Amino acid sequence: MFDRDTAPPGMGIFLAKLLSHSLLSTEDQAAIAALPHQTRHLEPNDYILREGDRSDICPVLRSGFAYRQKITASGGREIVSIKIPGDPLDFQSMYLRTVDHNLQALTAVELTVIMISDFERLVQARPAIARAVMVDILIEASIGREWLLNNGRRNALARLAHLFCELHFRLHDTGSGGLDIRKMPLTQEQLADVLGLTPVHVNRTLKELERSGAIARDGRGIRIADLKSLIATAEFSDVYLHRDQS
Amino acid sequence: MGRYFFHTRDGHHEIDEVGVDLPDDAAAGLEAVRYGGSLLADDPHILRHDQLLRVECVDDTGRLLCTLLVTSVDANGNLATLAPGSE
Repeated sequence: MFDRDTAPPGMGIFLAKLLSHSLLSTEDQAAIAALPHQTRHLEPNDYILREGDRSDICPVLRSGFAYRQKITASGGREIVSIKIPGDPLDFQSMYLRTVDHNLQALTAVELTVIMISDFERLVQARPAIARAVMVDILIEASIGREWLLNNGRRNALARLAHLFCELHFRLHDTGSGGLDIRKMPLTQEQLADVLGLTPVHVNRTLKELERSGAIARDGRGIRIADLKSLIATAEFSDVYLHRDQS
Repeated sequence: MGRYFFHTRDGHHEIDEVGVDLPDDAAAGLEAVRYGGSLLADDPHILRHDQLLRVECVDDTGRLLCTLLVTSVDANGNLATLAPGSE
């Protein structure tokens, strides 16, 4: 009988991510865990994929954080997605030919790299895995829609609080520990690039959240101090994360 | 490249002790405008407090480079109180 705890390093967290939104039989889980793969280490800001690439790999984030970003012709950058441990980083290239954004390491990362051709064979043979891939892609699209609303219509305080809430629940649901016990991985400049604010505005807003007691800052970083208060400030609803698929 | 700080007054004084790295004074002046614009877009009521938003751009020696002032005046040029309450 397959046991996820004995899955190869790097595959356990990937399975945890898929199981956070999809039911997979032990046979399906064992088939994923048995996929040939390699481990790659990257430093912060190293590129994982570049816009225009034709990718034949599906990297999965084993540890650390990564982000998708797009740049205007004049150099304005926006971080359009943050990926956490367990996240598959490029299911899209199973279906689309060209990578349409840049994917970079936010922190030092470890990647589990699977060949797309191997994963495709699995998807064709096992409908539940095909469904889990689709659900993962759909939830990422749902998160993207929420970010459009967040950056377009929420004020800076609610916008920043909302991002904290989202990352907290996503980390919590994949067993990585929420932002109440681990620090926010993004710097002030990176938060500015996510939220479409200037870095100084982000700092001002962080101070406001700190004064309200929702977050706490020490020399080592920012953590959530009062989740209820943060949720109220963000007017956060977790419906778009589709946390309960059962 | 230098470190620049952006202090604001809009009813209370908010000191920026973190700052941001920018290429030169000209870029810092533009950043002050961008920051002021961002604050105004975020909360139009910000002008209600002192009828004034002030963004002071300071370099890492403490030298004041420029101050962005945003206010609202009526037809006679007097400071206008913006209607409270409505979004």
